[in-house]
Amino acid sequence: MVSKPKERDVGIGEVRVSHNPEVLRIVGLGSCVAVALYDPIARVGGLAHVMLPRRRVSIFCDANGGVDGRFAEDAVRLLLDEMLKAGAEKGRVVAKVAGGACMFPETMTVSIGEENVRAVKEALRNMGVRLIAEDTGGNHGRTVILDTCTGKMTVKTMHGDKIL
Amino acid sequence: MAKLGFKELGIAFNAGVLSPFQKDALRELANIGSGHAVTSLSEMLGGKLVHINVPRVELLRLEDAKKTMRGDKIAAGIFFKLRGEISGYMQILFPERSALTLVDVLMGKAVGETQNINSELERSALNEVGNILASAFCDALSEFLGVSVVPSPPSFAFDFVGAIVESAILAVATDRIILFECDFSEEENDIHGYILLFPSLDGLRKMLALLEAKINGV
Repeated sequence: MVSKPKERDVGIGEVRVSHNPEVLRIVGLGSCVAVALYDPIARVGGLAHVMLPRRRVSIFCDANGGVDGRFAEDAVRLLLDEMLKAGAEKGRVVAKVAGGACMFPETMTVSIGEENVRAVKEALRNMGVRLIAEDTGGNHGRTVILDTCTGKMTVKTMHGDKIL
Repeated sequence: MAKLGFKELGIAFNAGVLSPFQKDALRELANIGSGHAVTSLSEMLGGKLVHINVPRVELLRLEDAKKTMRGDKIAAGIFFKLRGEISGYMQILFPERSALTLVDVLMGKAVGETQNINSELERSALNEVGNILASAFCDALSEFLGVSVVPSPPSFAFDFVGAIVESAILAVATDRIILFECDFSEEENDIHGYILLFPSLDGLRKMLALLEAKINGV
């Protein structure tokens, strides 16, 4: 009998990689984006929880602070680095992306969700990681569950579940 | 370049925690807001008595706010952009059970009858309650702090709490939310809700300075 691996939440700005059977989860994703990386041969998987497309001066960061997993490019780089440290090989790593919704389109003039998705894709491209699946945009929230052992990503919404 | 933190806001504001005085001032603000809302809500409910109690006022980080309100649960969220001297967003949140009860009460149905929020009728009923609360709280803010704050027309979502709350905070690029926990009671029904204020950096600075001045009796 194999016991079910426990689910571990990945908070905003956090990056988590595992080569043990572990299930990573991001609950109630709105305009934030979940980036999953997976190496099918090494069976190493990881998840990042991106908050903003890029650094901007605000109450919680300045324009030229250190590496910060809340921002798209930093998050993808941190995640890839962790993957390689855990035994993944760059040429085999593939990506799946979910999130980036615009929850209140009538009130929001700019969709940070869309910008987040664009920035994440650009970062993946720059780092030579192939994007193989995505479930992004729209006006609904998502809960993302990644099985780091199989690379299977489940996206739960109010309207049903999807497997990426 | 210096890290822009709460210390640099130039007001007594320690580690992002409200002082007891600031909390009291916000609680008073909530009482004024509730007072305004009660009259309109009672009217909307055909003269039934409504009480609003605000047991808790907090300044929270996004992650903590998600935990407090249980980010994985479903809620109805009514969202407003704030215009005027304090810019930012405001959100009224009713957890699923409370949202359904509220719709039953508003539409004169037996409590438990409404099972989902999918028709325009249900959405607009909740939007209307949200509107009343947002306007009442903005009036209270205006009155209490002597600034003008007006909510935009509402926008609605019935979804994960986390997704609803996250959307607003990213728009203002701060990581602090002012949370008013509200208990509404309408004769025999108890409804739980949250009023969330997402001031912009400039808005928060202004608000806290005005609260501070109020405390010092300036």
